[in-house]
Amino acid sequence: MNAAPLVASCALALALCGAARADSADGSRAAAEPTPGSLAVAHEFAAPDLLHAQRIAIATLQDLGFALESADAERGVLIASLLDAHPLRLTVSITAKDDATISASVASDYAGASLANLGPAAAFFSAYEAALNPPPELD
Amino acid sequence: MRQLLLLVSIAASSALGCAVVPPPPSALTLAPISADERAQQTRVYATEDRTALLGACVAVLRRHGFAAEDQDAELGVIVAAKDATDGRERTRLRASLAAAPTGEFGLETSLRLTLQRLAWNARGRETKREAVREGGEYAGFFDEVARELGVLRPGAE
Repeated sequence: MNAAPLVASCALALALCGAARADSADGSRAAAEPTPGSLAVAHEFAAPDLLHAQRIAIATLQDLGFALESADAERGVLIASLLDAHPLRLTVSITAKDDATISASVASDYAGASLANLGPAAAFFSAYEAALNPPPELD
Repeated sequence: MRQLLLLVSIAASSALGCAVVPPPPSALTLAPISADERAQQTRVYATEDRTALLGACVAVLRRHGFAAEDQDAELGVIVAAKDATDGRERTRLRASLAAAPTGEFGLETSLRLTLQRLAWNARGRETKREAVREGGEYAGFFDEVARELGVLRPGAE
């Protein structure tokens, strides 16, 4: 009987397990890179100024109760985790698609494990779109 | 056959060991913070020199024992932390700062600070994650930055 497929399954399970638990003891990995294998959701927005769009993304994360862990304007990557209670982290990427459009993507993880639930990403996009297009002020 | 059962058993154990507890629904429902909390986190300075403002922030953070974790000058972001060990528990106070131009012509700079307490037990498991909400901590920091910089928006205090 050939046990190779089963052995390979075990190895795959362990590898996935390792990916899901990739955080160091003090959570410091968060500052450097997104969770391997994270599911990312992407949207495009009309925004001619990339740096402004990245700043709006920072403010949106802060408004949703997140604390920044790292920011990189050149790569367009922002990593932030919830200030309170839950180890939920968002990795947001804001890059230019063309002169008038930006592409925004969000990947979520919880305690270092990639999240399939799209709720946090949807909440971010909803708040981000509103912040990019604020209603006109009344005189 | 016995070898097959053994391998299946190992695979099942590995999978169970890896099972990640799903997050509670409340963790996935994001809601905006209050206007009061946002105001507490924010101070506007009458300067468009963000480099000088961030320099003042770094000086104040260093004075309070924080070490820089991450910085991006273009986005005006500083992340710094202060670690301590209390018995078998390790604690961290993390400060995240973002400076952005504001005002009608972008001649002022808005500085937003979030402070967070984290703790881990001896096994490295996170045992605490909470926002610092004592207003004095934020006001004290902003005042020190203003003194360091020598600039404060009139009426902002």
